[in-house]
Amino acid sequence: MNKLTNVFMKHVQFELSDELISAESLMRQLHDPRSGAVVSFDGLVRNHNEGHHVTALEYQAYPALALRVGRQILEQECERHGVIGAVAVHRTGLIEVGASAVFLAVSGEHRQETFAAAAAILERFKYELPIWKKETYVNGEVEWVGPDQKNALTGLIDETVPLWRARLEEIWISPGNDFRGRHGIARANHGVVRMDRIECVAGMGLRGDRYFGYKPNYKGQVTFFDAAVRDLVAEEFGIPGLCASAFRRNAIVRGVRLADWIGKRFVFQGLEFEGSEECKPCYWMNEAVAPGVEDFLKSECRGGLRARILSDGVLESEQTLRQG
Amino acid sequence: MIAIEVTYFGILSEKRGLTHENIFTAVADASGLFAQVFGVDNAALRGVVRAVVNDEIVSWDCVLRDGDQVAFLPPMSGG
Repeated sequence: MNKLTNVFMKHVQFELSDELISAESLMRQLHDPRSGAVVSFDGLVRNHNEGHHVTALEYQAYPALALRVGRQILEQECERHGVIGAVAVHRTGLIEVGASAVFLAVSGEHRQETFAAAAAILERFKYELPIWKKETYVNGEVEWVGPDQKNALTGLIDETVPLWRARLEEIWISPGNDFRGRHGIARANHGVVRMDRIECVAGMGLRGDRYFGYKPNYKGQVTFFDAAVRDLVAEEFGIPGLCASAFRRNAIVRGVRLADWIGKRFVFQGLEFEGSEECKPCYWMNEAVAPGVEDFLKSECRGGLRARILSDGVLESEQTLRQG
Repeated sequence: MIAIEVTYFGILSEKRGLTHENIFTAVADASGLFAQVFGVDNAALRGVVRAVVNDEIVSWDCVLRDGDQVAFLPPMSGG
């Protein structure tokens, strides 16, 4: 470190402002004959973030603390990197796309320590300044944003649960069980009921269905069945017009490979599910649909996917959605 | 009972539905106040939320006194 750097006071200034930042006047403050390098950073409001179209950004600050912490960061990093001075302004309030949200300039003798000091200050600003960011999206939604796209509440990386881009063709429930516990005797005939919409209750099941609240953490709170398998069985076994309800699964979907979702979470129509296991066909399938169907359903998860319901809400069949 | 002025920032103000309020409480420290306000379900958030008493960041066992100004800060997102 050059002796001169220690002799003179470091020029450090941190401000909050609810008005446009004037970079020029800030830079002028750093004028110093010892300076051989000035590094500046202008942080602008982008029109997009994480795939959302952003129309405006709002910063909320805790002024008393932010001013102290901001100044402290500048002082500590100037000292640590041996630079001459640093000035910074952080905006508060509503900021339009394209405007500066934060401006920083660091002055040093040489470029290396000056760049390093500026980078260190900006990193610390993000995690230490008591300032919070709120984004307004083009659809009018407003959301608090966490540090570096992490969750605003927990500061942790948001687990992104993949979406099912599938169609829900039919929904079926049955108030009672036709097969379970009936080995050696005839099937029961509780019948099945076709629903336009069905209420999903997390941890419980489909309201009105035989497995609703069946047991804690039950793997088969809802069963998904691929409509394409129904088509295949109809063709293979020569049963034109075979109704999907014959398989006694709940949600007849099209456009998703059910075998891919065992042990995985997914979002379907805004509700979250977790695939638990293949819905293995049983010998009753031979009676319920046609002889040989049990074997036919044994591969590629054709019997369906059993899943747990992780969030409450309503599933709607395609027909209802179209009408709606 | 002591009177505390509490301020909420960022997503915590949304969660509470308020930016600030006056609370009369019998709790002893910042941790107790957080639990009283946000419930035991959110107790784990103390790992990421910071407590401030009279403009100083404090530890969760900071003893509260009558008239203290307390703030709860969620993870910061400046810059």
